[in-house]
Amino acid sequence: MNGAGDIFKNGILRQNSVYRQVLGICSTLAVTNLLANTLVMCVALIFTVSMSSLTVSILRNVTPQRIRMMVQVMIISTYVIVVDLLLKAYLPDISEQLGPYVGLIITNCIIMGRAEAFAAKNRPWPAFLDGLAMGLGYTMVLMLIALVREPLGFGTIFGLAVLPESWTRWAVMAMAPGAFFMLGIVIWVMNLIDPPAKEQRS
Amino acid sequence: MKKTLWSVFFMLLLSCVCAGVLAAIKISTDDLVSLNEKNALQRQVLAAFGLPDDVSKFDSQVRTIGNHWRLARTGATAYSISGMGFWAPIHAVVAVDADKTTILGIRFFRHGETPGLGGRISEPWFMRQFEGKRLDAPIRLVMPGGRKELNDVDAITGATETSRKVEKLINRVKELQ
Repeated sequence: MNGAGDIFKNGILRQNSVYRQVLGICSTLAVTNLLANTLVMCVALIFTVSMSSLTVSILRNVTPQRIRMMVQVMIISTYVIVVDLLLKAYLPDISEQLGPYVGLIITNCIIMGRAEAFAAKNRPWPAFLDGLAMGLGYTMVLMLIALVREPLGFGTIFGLAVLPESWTRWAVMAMAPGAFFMLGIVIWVMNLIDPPAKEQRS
Repeated sequence: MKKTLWSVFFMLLLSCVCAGVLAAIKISTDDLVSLNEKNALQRQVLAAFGLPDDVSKFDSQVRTIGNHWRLARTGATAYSISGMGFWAPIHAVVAVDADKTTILGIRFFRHGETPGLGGRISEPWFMRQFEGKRLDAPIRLVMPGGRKELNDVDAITGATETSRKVEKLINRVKELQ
């Protein structure tokens, strides 16, 4: 199952990190009220997860087993700080709005999970693709949620007004609880469309 | 024993490489980051004075004196002011006229109020309401739609606590030196 097609199908649909594995929920709730912020957050995550998977994989044969978690955290946090510094320098407005959530990518279970579950056991190129696919799966769900939350909560899409002035903004959609509702709906719908494989019981 | 030593050495080496990379990026972006911060603050000051959003003309129009700014042409002054909000401190730049009797403009530029509710204090319609308010009488935030006195502004529906904190903040402006 190391073909590129399989890796992508797995990362985006079958093992989707948000609606199937329910990982990375903190950022899903926090940043999805505006599309622009969500997009930047997703790009930051794609970069971090694919690059750290690549690095973990390159170092997998020389990394001592007992300290591999420390090594993974070190690699992940380095990439996250790189992203944070670059955002501060080149996209200061968005950096200000995302606040602490970029730094919190370090604790995003998706990245550590992929490092442990895939990158530590596979060659660099598949590991990089796996990170990319997982990041894209995360992006797909977050953008979908943001696409509903921003119009209902602020009456805009990417900051452009799409609903009339008279539109009553749903405060709940602008706040974290709105993401809970949306995430629940996404998980439900995806389980209908593509039911997860039955768990094997021994 | 040999394994343990290798682990320590490996971690040390990796730390040095990571720290080196970060230091290099930090140093190369430092100037840009501090310039961004300076520009962001200057933009708020210009907006509080009601001047066009053009940072390149900042130094020719505005003189920076310690922690406040003076508009050369009219003698109006802008102050940086902050106070506790509902969740986190609210930071603002407020401009007053030369004899300190009237508010010219205010910009709430950094706050942690609830998005969509208290967070709306940084929307233009809310900030514009303070223009022309007098400082010799208390400024009140009142329920929208009700009867309004000269020094009353509309509060934000659903953000009672934020409105109260903003009221406190705005009435401290006259004490600024």
